[in-house]
Amino acid sequence: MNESLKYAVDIVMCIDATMSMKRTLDRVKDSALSFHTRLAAAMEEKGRSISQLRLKVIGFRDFGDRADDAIEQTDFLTFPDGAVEFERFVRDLTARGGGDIPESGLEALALAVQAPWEQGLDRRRHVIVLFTDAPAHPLGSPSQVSVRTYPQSVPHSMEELFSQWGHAQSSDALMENSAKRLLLFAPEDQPWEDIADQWNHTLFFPSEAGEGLEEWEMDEIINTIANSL
Amino acid sequence: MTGRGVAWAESEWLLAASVWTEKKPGRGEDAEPLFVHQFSSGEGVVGVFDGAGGAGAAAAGTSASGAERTQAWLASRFTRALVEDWFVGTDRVHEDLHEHIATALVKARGTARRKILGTMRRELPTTMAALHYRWGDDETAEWAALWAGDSRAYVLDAQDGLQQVTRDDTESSDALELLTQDPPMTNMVCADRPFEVHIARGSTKVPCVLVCATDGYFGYVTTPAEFEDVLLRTLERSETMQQWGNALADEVVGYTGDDASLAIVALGFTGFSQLRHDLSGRTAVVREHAAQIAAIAPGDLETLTAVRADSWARYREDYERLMPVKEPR
Repeated sequence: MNESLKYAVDIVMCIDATMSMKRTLDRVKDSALSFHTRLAAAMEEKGRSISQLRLKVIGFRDFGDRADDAIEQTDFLTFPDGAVEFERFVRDLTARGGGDIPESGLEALALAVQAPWEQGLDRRRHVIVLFTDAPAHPLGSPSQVSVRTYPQSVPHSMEELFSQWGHAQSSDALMENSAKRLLLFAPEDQPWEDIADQWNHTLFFPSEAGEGLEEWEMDEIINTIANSL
Repeated sequence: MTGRGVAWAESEWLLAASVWTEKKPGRGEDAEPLFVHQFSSGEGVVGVFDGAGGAGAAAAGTSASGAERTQAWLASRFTRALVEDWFVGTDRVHEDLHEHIATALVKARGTARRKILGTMRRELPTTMAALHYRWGDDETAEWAALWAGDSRAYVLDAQDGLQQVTRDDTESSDALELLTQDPPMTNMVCADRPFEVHIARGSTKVPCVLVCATDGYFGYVTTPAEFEDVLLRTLERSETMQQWGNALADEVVGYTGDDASLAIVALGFTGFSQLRHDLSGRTAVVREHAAQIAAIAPGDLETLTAVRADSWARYREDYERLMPVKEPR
């Protein structure tokens, strides 16, 4: 009856590509590469057809350790035309560097929040999926912001990043409240625990970048994102 | 499991039908609609319950027949039973219903630590939209809408058509915006955090029709007026409540993308013929809205957006006439 009500789905994959991820990176890549297919299938099963699918990848390491490749990212790639580039980019991510234990995961998350999300069409889903095995450097850390390649758009505090994510009554959020979802495969560490607990529309699988995730648990996660809230 | 169920009742001055369909047979997260009427008091309760499949996707266990059930599946059935229990076994104080549900859900909540966390998760989450009514004299029926989430209750009458008497628990209550944006709920029945059961009381001249529906019925149409058109065009081609129920089931599976459930109680009509006759005057009104939408060429989203907005502008005033005002935060 309502042919216009299809979903425009944008997904940003934030993938930790530091050396500590070497053991798990191939599995994370497999999860990242299959995520959109599984989400589309779950949405179709619920009668939610997809009119447009775009994916963007942000590989991250640590600005304090590797200034030149702390962030590697694609633009939004529209599927199916962008599928080859998406797969090539994900497959080419290589585990290296990282230095100390915390990584630049919040910078990757901030860049994801600031991505040019689809604003047209009828119903939208804007999904950020983040894989990491480490805590993150606090935003505004001198060791990070002083690096010449540090993105100027990244907020300098968690409060500022939270306001960009927004809450139900936000008027100045960058993310659209109806559309946004955040899925964290991250350790029970800061800032991930607080984000999962305090930001709206989050799912958190406490783990080292999703290690130990069972198939049925991934199905549950996909179904949660595919369904309305 | 058949994936579909229709029940009906025709008695003197009281007509009722309930319709329940599943998108995937055996997996539906809507409970079968609730309808209980007590002839001695002239009171009844009618309601629908839509287990929240997103927030409640986690497994809740396995049935005796081996079927795996989600938290959402269980929540809708359990809450339905609790509302029935509230009507049958208590003094029917509206303000007590929240406690009646919340206490039982907390007791039923599992103690296992969840492996998947986050603010999107709920335990035993479901919507509910119920109408407790009392028809004590010949002139008016008193009702109280009791709801949490985005299922809806309505009054349908020949004068003003379909009027929503609940207000969705979403940031916006604009029915067209809700259709196009699919926003998240801000409140629903659940076991692991506070929730609210809203109460809105009113009265309506008899004869009248009370309707409760989950979003499988009203969330997949093109304009808000189209749901009333679904109700009336299926009524028009029916001869009995049973036929109307079956026609509503046939209709909804043709357009919905979700489980769908609906319950109707008609008070004060001499019979089905009078019900159909009295509401026939509304048919042309909503048919005109539907015809304008149907005339739009497939893929012409610009025209669709404009026609949809125009339809809503003309339909909205009567539709929202009985809608409760938004409660202050």
